[in-house]
Amino acid sequence: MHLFDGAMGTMLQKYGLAGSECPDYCNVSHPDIVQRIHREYAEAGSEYITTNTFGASPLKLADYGLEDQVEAIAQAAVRNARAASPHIRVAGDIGPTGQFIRPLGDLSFDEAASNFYRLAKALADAGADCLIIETIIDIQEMRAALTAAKAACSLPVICQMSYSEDGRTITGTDPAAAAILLDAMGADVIGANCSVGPDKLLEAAKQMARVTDKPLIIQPNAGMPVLDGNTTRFPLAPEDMAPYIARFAEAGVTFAGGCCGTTPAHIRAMREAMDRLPAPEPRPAVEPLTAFTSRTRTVFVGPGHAPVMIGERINPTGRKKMREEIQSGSFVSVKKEALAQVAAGADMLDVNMGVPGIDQSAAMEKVVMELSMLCPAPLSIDSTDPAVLEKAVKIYPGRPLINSVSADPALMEKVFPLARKYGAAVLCLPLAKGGLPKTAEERIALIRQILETARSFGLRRQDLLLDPLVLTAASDQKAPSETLRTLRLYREQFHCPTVMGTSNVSFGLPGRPQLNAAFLSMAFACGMDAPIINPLDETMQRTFAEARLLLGFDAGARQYIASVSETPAAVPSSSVSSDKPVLEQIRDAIRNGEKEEAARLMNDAIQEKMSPDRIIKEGLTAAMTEVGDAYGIGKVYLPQVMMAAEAMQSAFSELKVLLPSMKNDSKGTALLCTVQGDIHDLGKNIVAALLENSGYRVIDLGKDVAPEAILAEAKRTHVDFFGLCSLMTTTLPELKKTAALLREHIPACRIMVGGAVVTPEYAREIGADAYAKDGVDAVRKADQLMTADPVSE
Amino acid sequence: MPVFHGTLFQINRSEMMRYAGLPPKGSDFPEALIRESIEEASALASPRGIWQLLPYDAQTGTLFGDPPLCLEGRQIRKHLSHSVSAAVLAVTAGPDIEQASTDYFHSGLYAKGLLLDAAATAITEHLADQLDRYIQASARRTGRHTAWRYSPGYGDWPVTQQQALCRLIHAEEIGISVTDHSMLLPRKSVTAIIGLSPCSEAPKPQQCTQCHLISCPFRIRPARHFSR
Ligand code: B12
Repeated sequence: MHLFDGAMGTMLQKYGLAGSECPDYCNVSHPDIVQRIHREYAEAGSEYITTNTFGASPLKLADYGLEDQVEAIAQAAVRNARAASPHIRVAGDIGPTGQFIRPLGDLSFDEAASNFYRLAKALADAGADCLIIETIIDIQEMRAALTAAKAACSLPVICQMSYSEDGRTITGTDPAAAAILLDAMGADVIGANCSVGPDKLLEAAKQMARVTDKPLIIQPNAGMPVLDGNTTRFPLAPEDMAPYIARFAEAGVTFAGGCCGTTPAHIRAMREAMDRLPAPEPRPAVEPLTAFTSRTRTVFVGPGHAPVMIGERINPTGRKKMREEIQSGSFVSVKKEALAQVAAGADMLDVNMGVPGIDQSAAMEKVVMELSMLCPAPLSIDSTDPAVLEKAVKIYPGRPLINSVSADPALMEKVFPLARKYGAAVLCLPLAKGGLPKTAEERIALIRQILETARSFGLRRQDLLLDPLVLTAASDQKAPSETLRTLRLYREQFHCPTVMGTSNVSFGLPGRPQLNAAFLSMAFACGMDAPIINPLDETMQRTFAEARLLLGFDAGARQYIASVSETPAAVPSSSVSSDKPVLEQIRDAIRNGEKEEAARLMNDAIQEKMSPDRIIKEGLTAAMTEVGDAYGIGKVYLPQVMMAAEAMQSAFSELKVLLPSMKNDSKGTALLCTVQGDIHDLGKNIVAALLENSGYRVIDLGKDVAPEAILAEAKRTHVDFFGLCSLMTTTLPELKKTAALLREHIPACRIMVGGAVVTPEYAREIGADAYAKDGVDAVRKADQLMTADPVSE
Repeated sequence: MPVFHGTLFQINRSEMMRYAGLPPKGSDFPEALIRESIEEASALASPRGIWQLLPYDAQTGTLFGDPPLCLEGRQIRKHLSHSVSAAVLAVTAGPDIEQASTDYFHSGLYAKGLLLDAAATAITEHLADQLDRYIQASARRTGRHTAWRYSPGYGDWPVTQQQALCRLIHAEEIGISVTDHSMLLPRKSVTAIIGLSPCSEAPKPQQCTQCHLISCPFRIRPARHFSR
C-alpha cells in the first residue's frame, strides 16, 4: 500500500492563509508556506504529494479574475511539491468546476473538457508524475475531466469521486457503476475521497473491488466538519483514522491518504499503520465482465447473468407519428416510448434516429441528453455513422452500447477509438463488403477479423459483443438454423456476450409474435445473452420470463409466477354483469367509470324502448349522485369521480347519436372562470366537468378573466349562475371585485364561489349566494341555487 | 447564479397519488393509469432549478442580496432565527405539462387531466427536493446545518414577497416569471428558502397543524409534513 498526503485547505487555514485570497494562488504568492505544508506531509511519511491546484482550472480561477494564471500556478505548484523531498512523487491535482454539465446544468461537455484540459496540460508540462481528479460529485464531470486529462498528456490518471450519505453521488451514481465506466475509459487508478468519512468509503472500496482490477485509492475526510465558533473542527483524530488502513488494505485498496480535516499527524498515524501491515496479497482477479451503466443503474450482460432485454421501439422507421415529431424537433413520443419500455421490463434501450431530412447528429445528441436524465436503463446507440455515434457517446453519462460496427476497416478505424475514449462497448456484426456471409464459418472468420482490429485499438474482451446475424426465414429456410449454429460457435470460440435483432426472422410471415418467441427461446438455448426485442409484446415478455426461469435466474420461480398470474394490463374486461336489468347495468358502468360499456348500454336501453328521460334520470344521474355521495363520505376518490363523469359523458354523446331529436333540457347555464390575476384552472376544470355531466350547460371562460369580460359574456348569453374561483390569497380581492361588479350590473344574478383559500365566511362577506368546497359540492349547491327563489335585492 | 436542473428518476408515486386525491393503498384505481400519467408528465417536463447562497442577519431578518431583502412574517423569521446565511431557490417543471392537462379536460378526459396535473406537482416537488439535498450536502461540507425548506405564501410569510425573492436569484433565467398577483409562471414552480446555521438543532419542519387551512383536503393527520 502507498500513502498520499492529507488536506491542503485545512493546513493553509492553520498557517493563516484562509480567507478571501485564492488558495491556489498561494503557490505563487506564498511558496514558502505551501512548501512547508508539503514538507510536513513528506516527513510524516507521504510517498505522493498532491499539488495545491484543486481550484486552478480556468473556470474556478475566474472567481478571482485569475483565469490567465493557470500555467503560472501549475508551474509554481509542481515546483513547491517537488521541494518537499527528492523521493516523493507529485500528483497534479484537479478539482471540480462547481458547475453541472448539461442537461443537469448549463455548462457544455466541451466547455468542461477544455477547462480541464488546460489545467491537466499545465500540470503535465510543469512536470507532475501523475494527475489526480478528485472530489467530483457528478459522473459526467468526471468523464469530461478524464477525457481531457488523457488528451492532454500520457501521465497516469487517478479518478476519485465523492459520495453522499446514501452511498451514491448526489446525482445518483454508485461506486460500482462509476468504477465500471471509468475503468472502460482508461482511468489508471479509481477511487473515492472526501464524502462522509472513512466508514462509507470502505464500503465504496468493496463495491469497486468487485468490478475492476484497476488499483483502488481511498482518501477519506476526518469525518463531517463541525463549526466551533469561527473555526471548523473535524471529529476524527489520527488514532481514529489509522485503524482503517488495515481495513482498506483488506478490501484491496492500493493507495490511501486523507482529505478535508486530515493533518500531518493523521498521515503519520496512517504511515505507522501501513508499516505494520503484512505483505499484501495480490487481489483476486475480477472475471472480465461486460456491463452497461446509466447515471443510476448497472446492467450486467453475458454468461452467468440473466438474459438482458434491449427495447427496440425508439426507432422511427415505419412509425409516422414518431418520425414527424422528431422532424419537428420534439422528443415527447420518444421519451414516453422509453419509459413505457422500461416499465414493461426493458433493461436497456436501443435508440435509432434514422429520420430522413434531419440533422441526425443533432437529433441523437438531443435525445440522448433528454433520456440521460429520465431513463434509468442504459442506452444502445443505433447508428453506423461515426459522427452520430460520437455525439451520443460523448454526452452520455454512462457506458452505452454502440450498435454497431461491421468488418469495414474504415468504419472500425473511426468507431473503436470512440468506444475506447468514452468507455462504450461495441456490437460487432459479421458483415463485410460483397455479400452476406451465409454460413456460420464465414461469420466466425469475419468476427475474428473485427476482434483483432478492436484489440489493436486497445479494446478489451468485455468491450465487445457479437451479433450472429438474423436473416428472414421467409427468404431462406436455412437462415435461422445457421444463426443458431453461429451462436453456438461464438460461445465455444469467443467469450463475448451476444446480441441480436430478433424480429427480422419473421419478416414477411404470418403469426410473427409466436414465431419470434419460438426463435428467441431457441436462441437463448444456444447462448443468446441480450436480444433486441419489443418489450411491449406480451408474447416476448412471457418468453423472457420463461427463459429467466429455465436458465436458472429466477429463484423460487417468483418472477415467472408473478408474470403468469398478472392479469394482462391492456383492456380489463367489463365488470358489469349482464344478468341485471339494464338500468342497473348502466349505473354499474357509470360507477366503475367504464366509458365504452356505458355507451354500449345506451343501445340496449333504447332497444328495450326505454325513454331517454328515464335512462338519464334513473340510470345516469342516479349513478352520478351515488358516486358523489360516496365521494362525500370518503368511499370514492376524486379520480374515480372523474372517470364516472367521463363514462357519463360518453353515454350522453351516444344517446344524442341514437336519438338526434332528443330534447336536450339543461338544468341551467353556468358561467365558470378563475378570476383575474389567477392562473389556476385545475379546480375549475373539475367543477366544469361535473356540472356539465349533471345536466348543466357550462360556459368556461378559462383562467385569469377580467370582470368586464365576464359581464360582457353574461350580456351576450343567458346565464343562470356564475361560478368564480380564486386559489391564492392574492386574488381574493379580485374575487370580491368581480362579485361586486356582477351584482351591480345584474342585481338578480346568482354567484357561487370556491377555491383553495376561499372560505364560507369569505363567500358570505363578498355577497356570494353559495360556497362549494369541491366539485361534487358545487353540483349540489348549483341544484339548490336553481330551485331556490331568485335572489331578491 | 448557480443552476441545478435535477433528474426525473424515481418520481414519488405515493405523493403523486396524494395530490390526485387517492389514498396510497386500498383503492382499486387502475395502476396503469397512474404509471402512464407519471411517464407522460416526465416526458413533458423540462426541469430547471436555480439558487444562490446569501448572507442572512437573523436580528433584522435581512437577506443580503442585491438589493437586500427584509423578510416579512413572524414564522419565517423564527424559523431562520439561528441562520447566518440562506439559500434561496426556485425550480420549475416547465409549461408543457399543465397545458397538456388542460387539453385533456377540454377533450373530456378528466381523469387523465387530473392525474397528469398531480404528476406534474410530484415532479415539481421532486426537483425542489433534489436541489434541497444538494444545498444540504454542500452546507455540510463546511460544517453548517440546514433548516427545513420554507416557501413564501406559507404560514404568515406573505406570498407577495415572491417577486423580490425571484429577483434575488434571477429566476427569469430558468423561465420563471412572477405575475402582479405574485403567482409563478409556469404554474408548476416553487420558490423557497433554506437557512444555514452553525448549530445542529434545526427548527421543526413546517407542519400541517401550523396551517390555517383547517379543512384542506391535503391536510395530513397526524402532521407528517406540511400540506402542499
Ligand atoms: C398542489 C399545490 C401546489 C403545486 C401545484 C400548483 C398548481 N397550482 O398547479 C405546487 C407545488 C407547484 C405549488 C406551488 C405553490 N403553492 Co401551492 N398548493 C398546492 C395545494 C396542496 C393543492 C392545490 C391543488 O392542486 N388542489 C387540487 C385541486 C383539485 O383543488 P382546488 O384547486 O382547490 O379545487 C377544488 C376546490 O377548491 C373547488 N373549486 C375550485 N375551483 C372552483 C370554482 C368554483 C366555481 C367552485 C364552486 C369551486 C371550486 O373545487 C375543486 C375541485 O374539488 C394547495 C393546498 C390546498 N389546500 O389547496 C397549495 C396552495 C394553493 N399553495 C400555496 C402556495 C403558497 C404555493 C406557492 C406560492 C409556494 C411557493 N412560494 O413556491 C407556489 C405558487 C405556485 C404558483 N404557480 O404560483 C398556498 C397558497 C396560500 C396563499 N397564500 O394563497 C396553498 C393554499 C397551501 C397552503 N397551505 O397555504 N402548490
